[in-house]
Parts: sequence; C-alpha cells; structure tokens
Amino acid sequence: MSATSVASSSISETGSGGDPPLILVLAESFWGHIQKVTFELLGDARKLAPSIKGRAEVALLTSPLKSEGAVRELRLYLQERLHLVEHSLLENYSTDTHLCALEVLLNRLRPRIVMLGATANGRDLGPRLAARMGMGYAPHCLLIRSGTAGRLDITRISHGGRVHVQSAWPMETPLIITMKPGVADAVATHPSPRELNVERHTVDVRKNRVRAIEPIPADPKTQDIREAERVVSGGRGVGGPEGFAVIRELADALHAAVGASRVAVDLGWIEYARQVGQTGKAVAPQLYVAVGISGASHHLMGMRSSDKIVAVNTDRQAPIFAVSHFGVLGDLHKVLPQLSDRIRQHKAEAKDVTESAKV
Amino acid sequence: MKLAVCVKEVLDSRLPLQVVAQTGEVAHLGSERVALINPSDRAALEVSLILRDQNPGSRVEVFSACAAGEEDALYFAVARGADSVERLVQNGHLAGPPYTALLLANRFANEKFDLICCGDETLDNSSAMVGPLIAELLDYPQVTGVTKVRECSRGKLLAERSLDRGHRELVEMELPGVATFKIEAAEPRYVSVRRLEQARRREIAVRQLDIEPSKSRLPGWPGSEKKVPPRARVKKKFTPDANLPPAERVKMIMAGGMAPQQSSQSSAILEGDPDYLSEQLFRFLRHHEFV
Amino acid sequence: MPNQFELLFSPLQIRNKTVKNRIVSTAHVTVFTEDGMPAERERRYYVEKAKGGAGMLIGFGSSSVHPTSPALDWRVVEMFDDRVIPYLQRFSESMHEYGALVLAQITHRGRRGHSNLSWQRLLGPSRVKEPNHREVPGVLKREDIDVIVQAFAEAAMRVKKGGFDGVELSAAHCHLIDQFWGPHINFRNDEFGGDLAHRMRFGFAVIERVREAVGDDFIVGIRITGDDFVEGGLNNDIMCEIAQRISEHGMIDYFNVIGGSGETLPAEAACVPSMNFPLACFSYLSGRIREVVREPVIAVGRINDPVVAERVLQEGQGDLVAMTRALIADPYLPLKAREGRLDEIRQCMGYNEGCIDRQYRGIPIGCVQNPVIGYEAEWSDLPKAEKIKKVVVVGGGPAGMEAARIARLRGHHVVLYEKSDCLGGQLNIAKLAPKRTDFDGVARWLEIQLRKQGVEICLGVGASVETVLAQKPDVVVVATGAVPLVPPIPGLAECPYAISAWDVLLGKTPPGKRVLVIDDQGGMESTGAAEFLLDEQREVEIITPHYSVGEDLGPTNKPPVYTRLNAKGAKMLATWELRGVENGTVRLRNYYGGNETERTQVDVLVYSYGGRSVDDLANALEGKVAELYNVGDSYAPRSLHHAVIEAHKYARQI
Repeated sequence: MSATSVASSSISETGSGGDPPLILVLAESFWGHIQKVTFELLGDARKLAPSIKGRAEVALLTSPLKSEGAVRELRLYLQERLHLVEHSLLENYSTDTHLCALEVLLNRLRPRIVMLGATANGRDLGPRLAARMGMGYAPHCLLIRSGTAGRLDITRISHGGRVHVQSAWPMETPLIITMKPGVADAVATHPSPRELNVERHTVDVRKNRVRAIEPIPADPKTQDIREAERVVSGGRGVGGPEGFAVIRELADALHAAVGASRVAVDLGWIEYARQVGQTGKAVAPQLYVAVGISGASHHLMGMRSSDKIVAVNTDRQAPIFAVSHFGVLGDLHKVLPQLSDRIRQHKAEAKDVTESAKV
Repeated sequence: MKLAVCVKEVLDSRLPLQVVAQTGEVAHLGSERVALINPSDRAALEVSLILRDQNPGSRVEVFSACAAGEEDALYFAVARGADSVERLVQNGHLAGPPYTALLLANRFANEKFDLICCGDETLDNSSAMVGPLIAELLDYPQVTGVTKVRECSRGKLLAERSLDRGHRELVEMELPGVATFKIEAAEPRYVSVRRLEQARRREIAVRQLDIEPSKSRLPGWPGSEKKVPPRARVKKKFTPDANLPPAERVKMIMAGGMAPQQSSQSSAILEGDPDYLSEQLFRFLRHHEFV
Repeated sequence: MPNQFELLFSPLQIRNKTVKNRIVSTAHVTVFTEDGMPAERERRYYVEKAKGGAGMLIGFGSSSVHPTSPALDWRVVEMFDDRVIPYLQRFSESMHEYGALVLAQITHRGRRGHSNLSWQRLLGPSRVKEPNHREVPGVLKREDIDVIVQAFAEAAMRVKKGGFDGVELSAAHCHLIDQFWGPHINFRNDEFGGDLAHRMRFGFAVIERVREAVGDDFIVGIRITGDDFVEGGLNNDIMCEIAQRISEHGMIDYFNVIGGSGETLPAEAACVPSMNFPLACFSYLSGRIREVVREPVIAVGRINDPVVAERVLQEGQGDLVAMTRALIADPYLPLKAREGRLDEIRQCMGYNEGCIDRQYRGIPIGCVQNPVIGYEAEWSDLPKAEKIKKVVVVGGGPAGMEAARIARLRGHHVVLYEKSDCLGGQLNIAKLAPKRTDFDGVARWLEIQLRKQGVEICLGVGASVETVLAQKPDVVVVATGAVPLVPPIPGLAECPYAISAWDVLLGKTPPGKRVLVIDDQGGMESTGAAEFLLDEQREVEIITPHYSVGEDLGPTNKPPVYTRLNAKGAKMLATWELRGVENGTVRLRNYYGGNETERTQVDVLVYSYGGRSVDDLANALEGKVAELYNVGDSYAPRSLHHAVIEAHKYARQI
C-alpha cells in the first residue's frame, strides 16, 4: 500500500500500553450528514465500555469542507472524545482513501474494538481494514458484550436473519465489528449542545483507484417507503385505483414515495408494499401527506412520528386531523392537481432563474 | 477480457430453515436439502457472461471453494456457458470466509484476471467479506454492491453501486479489480432443463492448493462458532415509571406511550375553494422547504 | 413476500419440543365445558385453531387444581378429577394431528371469586379481600398449603397423562401464586410471608413439586403479569426481579407475560386490552422481562395482525406472540399469513363484547365478527347450495354483508343494495366515537370478501319493492337496519336542541356549551357521544335510569371508558330518567323514588334509547317473494353480534 505520513496536532502520544482499552466508533456520514447508525453504535459502545473497563471514543473521516457541519451534528450527542481526520479526498467514501487514513489512525490509537455500521460502506471497508491491521473481524453483528473469562461474546446474523451465530473472542484480540443498523437503541441528544473534546489528525492520502462520479438519489417509486423522506398516501377517499393517479402526480412533484392506507391496499387499488400503518410499514418521514385517509388507529400509529403531517379530507371528523400539522377540508380531486401544478410551475420558474443566472 | 467468477452453493432459503439441535447445523425444516447457486453469485456470473459476449475474445472462468457434493453452483455455471469451471480444495481443511478468500486469491495471484466478480453476500453466511478480502490479498481496488454495470472496457469499470436506503452512486474503478454484485445486477438467462442435465454429467476440474495461512494478511476469525435459532435483541420501548400511580401508568399506555396530542400541535382545518386550499398547501410546503 | 415473516414462521425449541412457528393461542376460559369437562364443543373450537396453523395452543384457562379454587362461575375445567384424563387424551390427539403443541393451564384462584357456588371456603394467603369480588377469604394453614401444592402436581400429571406437551402454571390475574407474591396481600408471619424470597416460597414449592412429578420431558411454563397496575402491588420492577429469580431457579421453560391483574376493575380491563388500547400495548412488559430471563418469553396483548406480530418479534419484545383473540376472529390467520393472503384475514378489532366480556359474565364465548366460534360442529363447514338461487340483499350493514357473503360462498347469485354511498351501515357511525376507529375493520373485511367473491354491489340505491322485484329474486334478505328511537317523552320530539347520539357522532350537534346526555341504551352509544362532545370542549353530564352510566358495557370496556370520561371531566348521575323537556329545562325523575328534579339552561340534549327498526320494505315484501328473511336491526334493534350471527344463520338456510 502507499506510504502515508502523519502529522498530528494532538499533544501527547498516547494510545497503547497500560491505558484502558479503547472502543473506537467510526462515525458514518452520508452527503455530509451523520447517519443514525453512528448513534446506535455509540449506544452499544457506552454499554460495553464499563464492562471491559474501557472507554469509548469516536472517529470521523471527512473533508475540511464538510467537517464543520458534521461536527455540529455530533455535538448534540457526543460526550466522548472525537478524532477528526480531515482530507479533501475523504469527502466521499472510497475504499482506498478510507483504508489509508484509518490505517494511520488505528496505528496511532491502537483500539481494542473498532465499531462500524454494517452499512454498504461499513461492509465494504470492514474486512479489508481488519486484514490490513491484523485484527479480528466480526461481520453483521447483533450483539457484543463481555462474557466469561475476559472474552467478548458476539452474536452475528446469518441466513438472512433466520440463524444467529455466536462466538467468543479473547479480549487480547483487537477486533473490528460491524453492527446491523436499526437494532441498537441510539443514544439520546444532550439537552443543550456542549463543547466537544476534538483531536485533529492529519493524514496524507494519495492513492485512489475508485472514483465516485456522482450520487444517484433513491427513486421514490422503487424505494422502500420506510426509507423515503417524503410520503404521499391515499386512502378510501381516493375512490379507486384510477384515483391514485392524482396521488402519484403529487408524489412526483414532491419527489415523494406513494403510500396507502390498509383499505386501499385490501381493495386492490395499490400493492401491499405501499401500505402504511401498524399492519403495513411503520414510517417516519420528514413529510407525510395523508389524502382521503380518515385515520384508523393502526394507520395513525404507523405514521404519527412523521415530522410534518398534512391531511386532506372531506370529513371534518376524520381522526387524521387530530395528528396533522396542516389540515385541509376539501375535495382531493380538485385540490391535488392544482397543488401539483403549482409545485411544478414553481420548480420551472426556479430552474429558469438558475439557468438565466448561468448565462 | 479475462473474467473470474466466484460462486457458492447454498440452501434454498425460500423453504423454512432450522438449526438442528443435535448437530448445530442449519437444515430445512421437514424436507430434504434443497440447494441452489447463491443468488448474488448468479448475478455476478450473468454480468460476466454479458461482458464476455460484448467483448470478443473474452473468457469467463468460474471457481468455487467447496467440498465435493456441493458443486451445484458450478453445474449451473456450466449450463449457462462458462468457459471453464473449477473446484478449489485446500490441503488441510480450514473453514471460514477468510480461508475461502485466501484460496481464491491464491488461485488468482499468478493469472492476470481483469475483473474478479463475486456475489455481494451469500444467503447462508451473509458475511459479505470474501470479495473485499480477495481484493485486499491481491492489492486490487474494489467496488461492492454493484447494481448495474454501465460500461466495462479500456481498463475501467463504470458501475452503479448500492448504498443504504435505496440510494446509489456511480463509480469508476481501474482494472484489474474486484466487483461484488447485488442480485438485481442481472437477471439470469434461461436455460433448458436438458442443458442443465447435460451440465450435471460434466466432470468438474479440481485443483488442490497448499497454502500456509499464517503467512497471509488475513483478519482473525473465531476457531469455533455456534449456530443458534434467532433471538432478537430487545429494543427499548416506552415504559412508564413504576413509581407513578397505576392509573397514570395505564393512561400512558392507552395513549400509546405518548402524551395525548396537544391541541396546539394539530392546527386548524382550512376550508375554502380549491384555488385557495392548494395555494395555502403550497405555502405550507414552501415554508417548510419541501419545495 | 418470502421474508416478510422471517421470525413469525421460524421454529423454536422449548425444552424437548419444537414449536413450528411463534404463534400462540393462550389459555382462556371458554365456558364450553360440560360438567367441568372439556368435551366436544371445546375440542371442536380448538381443532379450528390447530388446522389454521397456530404453533402452540394453551387450553383451559384457570382450570382448577383443587375443588377449593372458586371457579364454578366460569365453568372451568376441573383438573382435580381423574375423569378429565380421557377428555384430555382425545383433545391432545386432535391438536397433534395438525402439528400444534398443546398445553393446559392449571391454577388455584385462591381468594379470587365467591364461595357461594361450591360452598367451599375461600382461601388466601392472608385475610385480605380482593377488591373485585369483595369476599373475605380464610387464611391458608400450613397443611392446606401442602394439600394445594400436591394438587398442582397431581393436576400436572393428569395433563401429562392426557398426552399434552406441557402445562402452564398461572401466576397472573392475581391467582394464588401471585397472591402470595403480592406485598399488599400477603401479610403472613410464617415462612411463606415477609420479604420477597419468602413470599415466593409457595410458588417455588409448586414449581418444584410439579417438575418433580412430570419429569424432564415435559414443558412447564408460567404465566405472570409484567405490571399489575395495582396500588402497592407487583409493578414492573418487582416483576422483573421475580422473573429473574424464577429463571435462575431453572425449572420453568417459558414466561407468558400479560399486563394488568384480575384484582381491580381497571387492572382487569388491562389484562385483555380492548380497542381502547393501542396494538401490542404490553409488549414493552414482555420485553423488559425478556432482558432478565434466558427462557423464551411470550408477548401478549392486542397483537391482532401478523405484521404487528413480526415487528414485536423483530424488536425482541418476545420470542413468541400471543394472538389469542386474533385467532378467535380468524383461526386461519397463520395459514393465510404464511401464504401471503393478508387481505383475507379477518382482523380482531378488540371489541371484546363477543369474547372475554361474555366469559367474565359466565356465558360461552363467541366473536362478534366470526359467528362460527362456539358452533364449530354445526358451522365450520359451509356446503355449496344444491340449487343456485338469485338472492337480493337490501342493506349494506354488517347483517346484509354477512348474509351476502355466506349466500355467495354457497354458490348463489347475489345482488346487494345499499342506499348510502358506502358499505358498513351503523359501523360507519360507531367508528366515529373516540377510540372506536377499529370498527372500521369489520366493514372493510366484509366489503373486500364481497368484492373478491363477486357479489354485485349497488351503492346509492334505496331499493324499493319494485327495484327488488325487478331482479326476479328467488330470495330476498332485508337488512335495512334501524334509526335512532325517539321515545314519546313530552317535548322531546319537538325540542330544537335535542339530538340523537348517532347524530352527535355524525357531527350534527347544535352549538352550546352545556350538554345533557340521557343514557337509556346502556352501551357505547351514549358514552361515545358524551366523549365526542367532551372532545369539543363542551360540559357534559350523563344521566341514566340504570345503576350506572354505560350499564351494559363489558368488564373490559367500561373501565377505560370511565377512565377517559373522568379525565375529560364528565359528570354522571345514575338512577334518574328523562321525564320531559321545555325551554331549556329538562325534567328528571328518580327511577326508584319517583321524585323529580330538573336541569336548567341546557343547550344540547342528547338522547340514546337505541334504535327503531326500519322494516317497511320487509313488511311490503311479505308474500311477494318465495323466500324472505328479515335480519339484524330491521328485525329488532340489537347488537352487532346479533346482526352477524342472525345473518349467518339465515343465509345458511337459503
């Protein structure tokens, strides 16, 4: 591998020897935003640390351009020291650059356990990093805890979740572990932001044989609705399968996924994968637009954690209005097409402005 | 182009599985063992075959590090038209994904393959580490979780790679390299039952390799693992304080573990003609930066 | 969707047995026994569940280990008598035929009940009466304890001899074992009282003796509460401690964790959470217990759908899920879920009036949605009709829809007329009351079945005699429902601010702050309307001639309704009836004393006297068609349960 030089701004040369074992959580960022899995890993690291008489710390690899925003997000959650590794080539994930930077960092910090999310990038990085560092590797794990005789008991998932595999690792084996996202309880935010204990690391990253050309955002039409940031859902009030055309139109304009209430699914107006609610999929998008959905309790329980809820219904008594942030009493077949037009018109104008600005 | 494909035979997971208490192994519940080629390996094979057909003079060579009697994935490859298939065996059995990767990487070390294709993970072990470890052992670049190959020529692979939550990214990799594929990367071609039968009669080449694992750069892997039926982790749920009066605890549960919706949160319901309503809706969405 | 139910349909080993999936029907009283024995009616009821694919069936709720257990009120199984063994053998053979594990619950109810049926003295750990039954028990002597512990072991052996896979000890609902645990019940000075370790001695004595009797090749589970919701009782912290000690003791194979207790009325209502509670509302309790024990844990409480069940399992709140009422509403839920036929599952809505609320009153259970429950021998098969007929059903409420569904399934050609623009009838009104939205599911399921099976549905058609006869029907089923009854009370019909409870729910209430609700109907109609108006920030007083407001609400529905009415500030007055109304003054008369009083400055008067049949069409068609049936409220206004059972019964005769 290419050689790297290290210049650290940290004051002392700690990291090995008789220090308490270090659990290093590798923060995952996506387009500059810290991902929830980071806080789940931290939750597990905080639980594990006292049982092995160790301490948890966090590492973030990022570019100077993106670091400020990411650190601001981390500050809401962290009480641990943050190792910040900045380099312009670390802005987007790439196996070569991240391996190179982490090799340097891990050699410096000598962690006992490195925790990664079993995400696309975590699973890309984990095995190679473990091989390169000569560390143990535990992929796609559910549970890590201190066991008998100073061992670490680890449970990983196999056979698509239908089998669990248990193993015991000697404590002296340094270990890289990737944890399944969405399982651990994420740490809570501080009531007020606090100053972070940040240690900056400079690394020289050169080699990069895989170039990220452009991100391709998820297509709301095929994305799992649980993962969509915006959802427009239709219910009985939509009137039939053809009624979903206006729902789809608005969803398109908002770049949102289409959802549905149970009755619309059961009546065969739309496929089951789109069903929102306790008996379908529980969603918590940034925007949830409920159209012609009265709001049976199992529907409400499956969407009421959404950040902003908009309801369009002809029935003033509909329980959906009790949870909505913005309610409209009106005929969806008249209101929605106009709204879709209005949004498209706005987008076109905005585009004109940017294009004329370019000229 | 010279393409290598790594494949494995796995249990058909469409049938119910259980961990047999006596043996600690995974088997089908109430039926005979039904095996198939690992679905993402199948996609890797298909992508390779397509690339071969697009680049005259190319070859697709398929490998499986497996025991005798587990050649189903190789037969599958023969039936689909792989140029060669080979079963790799290590002298002195070492189990686990790192050794699988070691075996395969050793096989590839002295032969210049342009692209080594793997499935992104197996249905059974699900560790997703063999591809990256081959790349590490050969010091190759890697792209994992490929959902679509846009172009592969002139020493470069241009591909879409799957990220989380349905997002993807377009990446370009210098060859030689390793790519691991998602199931959706390619639909397998149709093959008649007769051709499959013919393939099954074919003798599979076996290559014995003699490797000293301690001399290789491998991650540590536990000597023994225990398979158990799944036991989900407890997710923390809202729990009322045990010191609150019972009636308060019950009320909290009846309210779904949340404070009853505050009237301030649910806003007034707007009425009016469609023009007015759609404009107000638009303003709300605009105000919250959804448009 | 192969992986949608990854955990729900994965097998699990419990001691020496493997349960094929995670779906459990937990022990409940059916009141189907004959002379204390689980005979044919009980067996047929369970056969459907076994056929439907449930993994584990726990039968015989609260069956008695000893004649002193005060349980004659529910006609539980008498497990203290060897007579039971042949019944058990026949029962277990039937369940095993379909691959289900079968267990039986055994218990001693201690002080929970009355002694006035068996005239056996009531016994408890101390002389503390249960708030619910209010009979003071005698104190168990040391030798009584030995007798009861031995009785548990002998009852467990009968279960084993009966070919069962295991036995479940009930230490929930405030039965004898958990009465000993309770610091507010157990005030003994001997070795069975004092600190928790001593209070747990009786339970451990039972567990040890039972295990000793049945040996190692038999499941012994325990049912406990996760929080009894009783002042000074067994809260979640204490129950976690108790569960952990039982787990460490190492003789119990699973924990079955409910919420609530039988001790007080509100706690009892929580035990079988009705639609007043959210789905899977107590899985947090089983989740907490699961964190401190090694053995499998059953999550319990309103898990009414396979998707909800899978989520409970995925979130680690249980290793198994109790879907008891869900399997009453649809015994074939497991099979349908497994085959991806989710829209065919008749979902339990948690109304409880058809099942548990009947059981608590000592009458055989049923299901307001599933008429077959309790009548499996007669109705579990639906044979095709010998002669295909043309059937016209008028009315798209539950009775009309059920009649149409059954007639269609039997092969007839069915046309259904509904005068409004949607199916559902009164369900569409009932579901508007607070915490009653789940009524929606009843109409939704029926409508989907009708559409799938090809019933011709004509909405917005108020069928007249001519419309009906123009179809040249062989059979007409009239299910035209009811309208609110306005009794001939002076001034009521003319009163401009008087409104029926139905119209309140439809949002037609005139303005005004001060509301008087007259509750004669005694069910959910009046309390629902009252709550609806309280939510509109009005001042509401509910007046009833009965002993209490909502007199006929079942034991699991009344407490949550009262909890909310109280929280929302409702006033209630019992034993007074409406006598007249004029100019804002409402006259009331005491139902017993006959003396009068009045309420002045009333802005809105809500009356709830039940329904009046809409039977004009039924009368007009008399003699004009070959076969005529009048079913549901248009025959006589009664309950949803009546409507569905009646429609089902007559549609089978077509």
